[in-house]
Amino acid sequence: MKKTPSAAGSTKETSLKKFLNERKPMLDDVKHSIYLWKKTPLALIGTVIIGLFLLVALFAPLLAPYDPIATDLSRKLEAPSAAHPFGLDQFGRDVLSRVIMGTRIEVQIIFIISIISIAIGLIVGIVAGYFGGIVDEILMRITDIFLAFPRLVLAMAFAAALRPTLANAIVAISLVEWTVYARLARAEAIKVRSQPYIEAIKAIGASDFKIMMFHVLPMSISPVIVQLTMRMGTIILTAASLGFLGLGAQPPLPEWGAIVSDGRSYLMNNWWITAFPGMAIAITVLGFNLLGDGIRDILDPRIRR
Amino acid sequence: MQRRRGDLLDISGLKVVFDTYAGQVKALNGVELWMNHGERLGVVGETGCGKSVTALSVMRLIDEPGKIIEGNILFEGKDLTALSEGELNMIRGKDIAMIFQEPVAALNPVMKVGAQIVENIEWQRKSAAQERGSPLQTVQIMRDMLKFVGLDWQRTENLYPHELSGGMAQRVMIAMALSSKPKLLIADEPTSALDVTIQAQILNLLNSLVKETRTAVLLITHAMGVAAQFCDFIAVMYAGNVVEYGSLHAIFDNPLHPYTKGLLKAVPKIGRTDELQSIPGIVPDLIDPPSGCRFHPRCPHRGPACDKAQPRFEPVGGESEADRHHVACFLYQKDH
Amino acid sequence: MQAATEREGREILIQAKHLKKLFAVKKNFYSRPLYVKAVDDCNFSIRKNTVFGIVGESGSGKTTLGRVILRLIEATNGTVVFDDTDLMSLSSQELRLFRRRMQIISQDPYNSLHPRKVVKKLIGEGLQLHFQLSSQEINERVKHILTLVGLREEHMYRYPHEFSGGQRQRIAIARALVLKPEFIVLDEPTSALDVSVQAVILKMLKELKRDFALTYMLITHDLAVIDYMADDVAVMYLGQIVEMGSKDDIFLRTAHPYARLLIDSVPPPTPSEHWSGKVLSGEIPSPIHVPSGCRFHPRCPQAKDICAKEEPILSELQPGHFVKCHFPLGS
Repeated sequence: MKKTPSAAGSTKETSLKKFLNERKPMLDDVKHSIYLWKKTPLALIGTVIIGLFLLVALFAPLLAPYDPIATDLSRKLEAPSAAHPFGLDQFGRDVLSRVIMGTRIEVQIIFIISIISIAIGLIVGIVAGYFGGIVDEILMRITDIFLAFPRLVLAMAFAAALRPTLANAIVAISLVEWTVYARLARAEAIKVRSQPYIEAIKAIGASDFKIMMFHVLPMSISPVIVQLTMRMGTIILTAASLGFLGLGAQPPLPEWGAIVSDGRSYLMNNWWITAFPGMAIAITVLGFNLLGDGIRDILDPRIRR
Repeated sequence: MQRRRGDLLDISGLKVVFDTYAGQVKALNGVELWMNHGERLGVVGETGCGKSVTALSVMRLIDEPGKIIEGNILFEGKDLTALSEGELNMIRGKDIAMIFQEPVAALNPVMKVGAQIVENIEWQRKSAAQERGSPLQTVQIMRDMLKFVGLDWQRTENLYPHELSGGMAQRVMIAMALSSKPKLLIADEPTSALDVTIQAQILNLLNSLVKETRTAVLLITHAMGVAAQFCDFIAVMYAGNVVEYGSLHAIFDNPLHPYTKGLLKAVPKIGRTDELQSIPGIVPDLIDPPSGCRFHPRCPHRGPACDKAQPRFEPVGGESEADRHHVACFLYQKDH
Repeated sequence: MQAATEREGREILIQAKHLKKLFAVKKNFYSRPLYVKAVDDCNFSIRKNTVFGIVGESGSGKTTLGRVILRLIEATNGTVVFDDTDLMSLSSQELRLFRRRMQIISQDPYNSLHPRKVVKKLIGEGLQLHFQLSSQEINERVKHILTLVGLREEHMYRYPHEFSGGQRQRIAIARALVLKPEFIVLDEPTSALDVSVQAVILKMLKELKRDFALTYMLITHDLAVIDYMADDVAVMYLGQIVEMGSKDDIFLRTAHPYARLLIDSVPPPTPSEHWSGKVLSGEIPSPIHVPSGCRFHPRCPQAKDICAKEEPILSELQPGHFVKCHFPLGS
């Protein structure tokens, strides 16, 4: 307790130095990633778009100038103006506020669907790929059944069967999405399974569960993450489509697809109700696709070295 | 130094660098090497010593991010470093041919072996501006070549590369390489991927073929046994330099450079009873190579001058001219 | 019986009997599977504190044999007794615990270490599985073992790709050694390394064997490495052991024509020594369609009629020196 401040400072400093030194390779790795990131301008644009999207979602209540569900029928279908840059919809709600608040719903959708579908996909894929044989056959044939239907149609069927709510739409999309990750994780697991380092770990006496969990999974996850970022655009589109068809988020929830749907009967004269949320969808999807491409390039070992 | 030292190939002061993310790799640092027509020169050294880069430089196959920054490669008096791509194509595959460690990877996977050799022969004729022979004639040459390398042409010409064993594929590569009657054959680890019994077959085959055709061979290898049994002259490379060069006898019976001595003592051999010796330390990082002699951090005879300047590559006196014994080490420099 | 098997008074650590491994290959989904006889009826025993060398060309089944011994690949048939324990009868749980006593170091140092784990994790993993140790103790043991294999404490937090091939092989050795095993299978431990590095690693393996009373099974295609390391040698051809005996039996009193030609095809690394350059014709046949009779007869310079018809048995020429040939050399 009686340490002089300078001594305490220096030991702290050395331990920090030691800590950084021990993790130098990791830091170098991060630095290298940033360097590669800077060299791919499209990835940078994607990052900016998605960054903005997340910021808007985070500060949505502060950014939205009006209440997104407060109606004012006296001013319905008003064209864009300085006070209402995106105009008003058929119930007199501010479209800008609805689009801004909508980002929160989109983030929720993406987040929950990602977690559910990746969890199912990784488990099914890694178990199938690692064990192979009959286990693989059974799990992959189940996956094939899911893949045999057009994605959107299957999601619609699930959503319709489950009662049309946002939560059910999320479940429906997850049930369709996981197959992508399952196949990817299986391919990776098969590749990793035959690597000498997996044999080495087996030879040490690790159980199959440990090998899958701590050795196969970490190696399979990066292509899955890349795929996920690339599919996020599609997830938004699917959610929006369900919303548009009335099978997803229900009014007055400002989900982008639902807003587009709201405006479709007024498209000829009051284009703004549809156009602005539509643009929001397009830009966000583009952002995710650019980001996904960028992440794929950065994680690609052939480009790294 | 201006005098041509070898009438076939004379490499002097060759420097090659590769620009990478981590920095500039100084892969070759003034390589000196020469050989006459019909000679067999072995370039030996460990991973990363620059032996393959030297071979690729002779073929002018150093691609981005690598480049030749200094030095000359005289091939029959012509400086290969100064030639245009078009002029090089007249030489590549015609006067200088190359075979690789992974012969299957060097063949086109979707083309039958016979067709590939035929295409190769036709292409060489075209680039050498020779008359195109009749297709039948070309096919006959292809079959002769396959016979020449000890393959049954009836069986082999209709196979795809993946159907060949490693040994057969290497024979096919040799057939392709020798079909143009090159003056120099560069063989980059031609037997390293093969089993010993197949290695013996290929070495014997190469041996008899190059004797018959008087083709000079530049053999790149890490296997001392292969070099010892196949070559007339040996160049030992370390970290981008030829550290010692001379006749087979000079290098194996009278090694001078501390690295050569260490390397020879590290080679296990059937019937050897003494302990293996190893060279302490590790191969240097060529992005930031040691100053002076690049071997000095590992050298047991390190002197005060060794980290200051690069030792000159000089002939060692007192031996017969035919040995061509040269070494780059301060221990043998007269002014030290 | 005791005298024959326990030469030099050393106990037997591993006894393998009638080991067989078939791999099914299918040309397509509908065809009947063909069987590759990767390992075909191998019998041998390994004495404690010795190096048992297995030499053969690619396709001889030597790598599979090393895996089958450790039950990393399940044998089709046969038994392996490890110091009174029948490995084949262990449950998967028991086998996992037993693995501490038998380790493997494989050929490719670039792929045998998990690329996303730091050295401390790589080595400490086995400790966590087999010993109840605090993280402090694990740290200490990892440090200790690193210095034993010639690495330093500061290497603990580095990733495999930051090391050279030789250093990686040291890490792999440390990973095996930290569990205090009795038996290690060395599968081509130095064939991916340069000669000067190979010399260091081989010397180190010899010293470790002495210091820790280890038993090795050394699998390699390099006869010079076998000569340097092994006490006993088995020569494999197409899944079978064709000659087995002490190192001197194999190199000085070679009896099988294949072993002879294998030894003769190695170019000696000294020009003064004349290389007979005797060449074994042909290539190792596909293990799916093995030749009838003696499997070596199509390539054998001494082959007679009987060789194509009748398979020779592995018979004992002298005590401890076995050969599988109708007409062994020098008799």
